[in-house]
Amino acid sequence: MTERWRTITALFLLAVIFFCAITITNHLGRFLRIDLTENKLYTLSEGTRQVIEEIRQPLELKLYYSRAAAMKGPEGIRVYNNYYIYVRDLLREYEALSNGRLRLTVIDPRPYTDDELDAIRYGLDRYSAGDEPFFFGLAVASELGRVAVVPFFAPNRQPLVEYEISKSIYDAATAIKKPVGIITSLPLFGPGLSPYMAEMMRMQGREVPEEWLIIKQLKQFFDVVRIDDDASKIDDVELLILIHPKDLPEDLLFAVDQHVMKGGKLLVIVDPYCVADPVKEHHLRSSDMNELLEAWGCILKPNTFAADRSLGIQVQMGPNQPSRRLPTYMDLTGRSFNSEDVITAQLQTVRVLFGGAIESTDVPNVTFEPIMTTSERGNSISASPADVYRFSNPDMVERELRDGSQPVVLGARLTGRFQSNFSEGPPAVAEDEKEKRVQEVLGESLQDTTIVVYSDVDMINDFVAFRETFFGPAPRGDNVNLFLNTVENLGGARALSTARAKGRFNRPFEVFDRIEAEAEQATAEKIAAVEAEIEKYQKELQSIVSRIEDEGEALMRGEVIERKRELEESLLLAQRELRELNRDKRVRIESLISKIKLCNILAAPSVILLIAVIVFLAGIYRKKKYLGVRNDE
Amino acid sequence: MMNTALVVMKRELRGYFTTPLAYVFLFVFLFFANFMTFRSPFFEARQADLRVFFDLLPVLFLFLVPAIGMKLWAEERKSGTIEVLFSLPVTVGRAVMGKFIAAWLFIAVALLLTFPMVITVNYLGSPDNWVIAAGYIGGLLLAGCYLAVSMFCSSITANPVVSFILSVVICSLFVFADYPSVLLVLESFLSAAMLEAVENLSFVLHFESLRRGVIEFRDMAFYVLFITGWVLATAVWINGRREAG
Repeated sequence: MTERWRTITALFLLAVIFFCAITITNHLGRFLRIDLTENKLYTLSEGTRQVIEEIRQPLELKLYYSRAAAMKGPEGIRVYNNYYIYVRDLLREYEALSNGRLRLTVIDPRPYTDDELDAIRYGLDRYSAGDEPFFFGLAVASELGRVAVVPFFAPNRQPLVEYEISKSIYDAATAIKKPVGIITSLPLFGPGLSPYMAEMMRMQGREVPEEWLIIKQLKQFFDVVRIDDDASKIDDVELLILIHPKDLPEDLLFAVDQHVMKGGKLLVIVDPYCVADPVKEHHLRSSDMNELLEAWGCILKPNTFAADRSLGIQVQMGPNQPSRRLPTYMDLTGRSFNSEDVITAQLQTVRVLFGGAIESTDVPNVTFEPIMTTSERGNSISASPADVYRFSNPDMVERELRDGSQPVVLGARLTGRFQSNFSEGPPAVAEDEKEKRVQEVLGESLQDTTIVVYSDVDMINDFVAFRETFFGPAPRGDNVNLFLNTVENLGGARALSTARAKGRFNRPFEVFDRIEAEAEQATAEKIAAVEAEIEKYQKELQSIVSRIEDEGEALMRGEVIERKRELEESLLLAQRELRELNRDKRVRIESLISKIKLCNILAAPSVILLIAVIVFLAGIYRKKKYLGVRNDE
Repeated sequence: MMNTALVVMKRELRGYFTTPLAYVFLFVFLFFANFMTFRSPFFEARQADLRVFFDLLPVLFLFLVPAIGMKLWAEERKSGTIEVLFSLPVTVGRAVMGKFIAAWLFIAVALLLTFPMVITVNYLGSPDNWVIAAGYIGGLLLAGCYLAVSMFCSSITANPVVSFILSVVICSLFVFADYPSVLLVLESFLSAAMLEAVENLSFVLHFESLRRGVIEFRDMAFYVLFITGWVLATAVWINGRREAG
């Protein structure tokens, strides 16, 4: 054999050996890894480990991924390929931790196959990639036939993917629905009429109250237990929900208190003014739980409404009236939600109607964490619930409201060990018995527990949380998700509630946020003034237009027509000013962006260029010097 | 004995900074790296990390690293200095290693010079600097792969241009090995296991975890094996040519 052939054979052998070695190591060291991320984003959490440990029966994990469709699809689908590998490996880690109780199969559901049919049957989301359907979801099936799914793995939900997987495993492994207790002053469950009575009422043209849609939704996932006002003990319920609680008897308050002391979770939804409350008197439409909550870390500020100009919704106050923005009727978006809390991390918009302001009472050993707020421009206005106009009329609100500098809290999470409000003994007990009963009272929570408080009840009412469509009511925004996420987080598996969104996956440009906030604050007054001016002009214009419509342009005097023209001009000018003010906000950021770009793109290469020039000049100089020395010789 | 490799490395490294090529490379690399990073969507995304930059590296390296690697051996052969090199008391293996490490260090310098980006994101927000560090480690290993391929190409031809083109072609095979369209073509004649093995050869796939801040054993093993394999192949080839005379 010639030398050349020997070399080629050696190279071929090298290729084979290294190809095999790479393939083998890829399978061997699958779980050896170091997670350098600050919050250990890619390490299975303690909560997940606990969920896996608690599984008693074998579960099948079926990962559906349309690999062939992804290959044929556009290049953009590559992001799914990489994400698929991440999810698959994560699931393999679950499998490895489970001691054989979890079995993972990866399925490529090709069109017109049984696999595709199964994927559809499980309720996985189906998209189209090119001419093939595209699936990327997980079905967890138990031997008893219980199935839980993650309908679609969207790469943008990566920070929550572990929670979603663990939750579906937990759901499939748990055969019974968890009980959830509800205390309320509202007809959430409908009037409990017989179908015959309801039909009769409808025939008489009367409105038949029905069960709230949100309760119907809740019943799908939980065993909903209604707790009556005369109850004096709450048992067998992990999560207790208080919705618009009013004038609760002492015994019931005591029962709620002891529920929390036993380590039970609590969700409190109160409201300074509940539109959905059937009570006629306005001043009776408010609720709070301050008698218990104050000692636990927060209060609902009495007679106070949250408002925010930048979030207010346009409302029409009457027929033929221009729509106006009402800052107490808000669509919370984006930064209103705590992006690090699993309840709110994925929410986009939540509609709030006349919500209140929650304030921390700084109780030691309890953390108060806002999870839903107005923007920094938000502020609160004082008004008694009896003076409905003061918080529901756009003009009145506009006049009262001063732009704030700190977000107003509309939702908060309290965590820690809470102190009982009844350490002196249960209420209404005869003196002689009291001593005995005091010993039964738990003075402090037995373990860390969680209370979530929201300051608006209407947000879960049908007319705010749902909208009518041709196919029936459909959820509007994320109101339903907010409620269900909260219940899931508090009332679901204890282990799961520790598998919260994993710390910071969102790392915004704080400098930009600061600049924007500063600019917003600096121009807020001006903007508000110009906006008020615009509204004044619009109103006057509207009245002139309606007069013209009524009386006919020909009959109107010239000066009125002239005034209309003037107004139109002023309106245009004011609108232009507003646009410029808004543009000013961007200017500072844009100039910073240009500076950063310039520094980075030009500075480093220029320095290199400079060094190069110096090195070469030095080279030439040395050469000359050397030649000079030679010449001298 | 390691010293001879060290001597070769030093000689090479000094060689870089006395020729204009090194500065041209650094200039082009830094300009494009910064220019492409700070175009959209960096400022639109408003995330204090260097994801955009690390996403760029595989493509940026595809053209720039072969430019460094092309002359490693081709030049020596063209100018005949290879004979001089081997008249010195240095084995082929050490010479190959010395040259490779020198070129790798040079690319490391280029990567380090992108530090203003790290300062920039730290100024704009609070990035996870460990994730950035993992990204840089990944970037360096990625560059090592390109360089090992380029060096092999450089050893089999005396023409640097041919070497450059060959390296770009071979490296793109490894960059695009996990592209859906490539896999689709391969799927028609490869078994599922083989398909996975081919996909597993992708540079980008193994860069993915590092870029996220996770150091995985299998990624590190891939890079070490891949680089060792190609460097060994270079040594075998040059040795073969030398023996053949």
